[in-house]
Amino acid sequence: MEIIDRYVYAVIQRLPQQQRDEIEKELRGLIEDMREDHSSEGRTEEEIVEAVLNELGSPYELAAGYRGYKRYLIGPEWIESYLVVLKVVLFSITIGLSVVLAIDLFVDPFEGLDAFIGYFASLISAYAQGFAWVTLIFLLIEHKGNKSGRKELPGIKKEWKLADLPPLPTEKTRIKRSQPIAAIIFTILVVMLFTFSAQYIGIIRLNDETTKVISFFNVDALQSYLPFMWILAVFSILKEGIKLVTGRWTKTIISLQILFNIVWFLLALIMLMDQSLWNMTYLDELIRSGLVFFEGDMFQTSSEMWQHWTNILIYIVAIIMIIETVVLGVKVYGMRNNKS
Amino acid sequence: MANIQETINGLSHELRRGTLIIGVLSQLSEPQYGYSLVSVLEEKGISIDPGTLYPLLRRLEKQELLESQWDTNESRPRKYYLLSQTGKEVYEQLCVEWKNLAQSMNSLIEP
Repeated sequence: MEIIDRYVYAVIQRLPQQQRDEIEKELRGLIEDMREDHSSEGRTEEEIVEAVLNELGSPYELAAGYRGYKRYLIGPEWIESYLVVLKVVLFSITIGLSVVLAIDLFVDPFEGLDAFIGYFASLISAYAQGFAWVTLIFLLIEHKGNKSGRKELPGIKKEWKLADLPPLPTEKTRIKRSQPIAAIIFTILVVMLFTFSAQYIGIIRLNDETTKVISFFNVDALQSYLPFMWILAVFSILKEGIKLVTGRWTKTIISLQILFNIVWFLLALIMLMDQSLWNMTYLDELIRSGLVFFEGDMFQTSSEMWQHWTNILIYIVAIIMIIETVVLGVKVYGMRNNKS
Repeated sequence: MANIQETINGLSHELRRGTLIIGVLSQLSEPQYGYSLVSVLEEKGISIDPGTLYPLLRRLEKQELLESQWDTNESRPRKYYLLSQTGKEVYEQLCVEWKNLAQSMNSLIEP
């Protein structure tokens, strides 16, 4: 009977391949037995089968019973953290793109409609990206966690020791929620600015009639760096997510933080040293626009001038990075002292 | 009032669920197939849905408390389950646990 086939299919479709045949055989046998049992009541075959299948109940629950465990995309252990990180990321994307829109409108108020259409298109694709990445990352965490001890049978749990209890966060080791959230927003903001509005990063000059932007960057050359920034940003956001969920500095998190600082620094260093990335006509444009005057031969060529300024920038970035690393190092040192 | 009844139903369902395994093991010193086990248990006042029993039998087999064999001689093939050696030992121990539990519970609820 077709309805039986449909019922059996609905059950075994949700089971591992190698168990399907046997469970199907068993299930069909059971349904036949139950049909015989119900048959003496003067009803049609259809009614009997219907009663039997109703008694067996939802095929989804039956399949869940056979599997012995529930399947989750993101399980109950991680769903709270997942939702928090997802909210922060989507919120940051909204802010980031709105800032980009504001810049667009400010620079070119006459292209309002185009800017808005672009805004909504970017918003949708950026939401999709953000959602996909956050979900993928949590999926990997969930999957990794389950591999070690899938809760197939009740009563089998990972062994837990009292020593595993994390210490109470002290004033020194606590990570305030605002810090990773701000970091995620900042990361997304910077990446979006570089992705969508790099041509507007520079000095803006307002005439009576037009707005003139002189960009620091050679936008074409910048394109090749964008994928690195995106990948790094995704992992940085993951790191901030971990900080948000853990809520305190641990040695692993501090090491991660230092590692990311170094990688970001290296990227910044490579970009700063890449001459092709910079808008070499910048100075000429600047002088032509009448914003800046230089005394004669203070710098012989604009490229020398650039060298000078990028060197200063590298020092500044390096000093910031060293200070942060030292602060983090002191934290580790403090943690060690607390324990002994 | 309906709410209280629902709560009672839910809780007694939960209470019975834990005792099902001992009930199933108790009837499997002779080989039985799933649906015959449902009838046997029903006769003795223990009602169990086939939809609960069949997955449970498979799980107990996986835990090596039961052994199984397909009988293809009858009109339709049936999978017969029987207590394994481990199953017998486990069942005996569970009976001791149950008696102690029942005794303690009785002394708790009887004034």
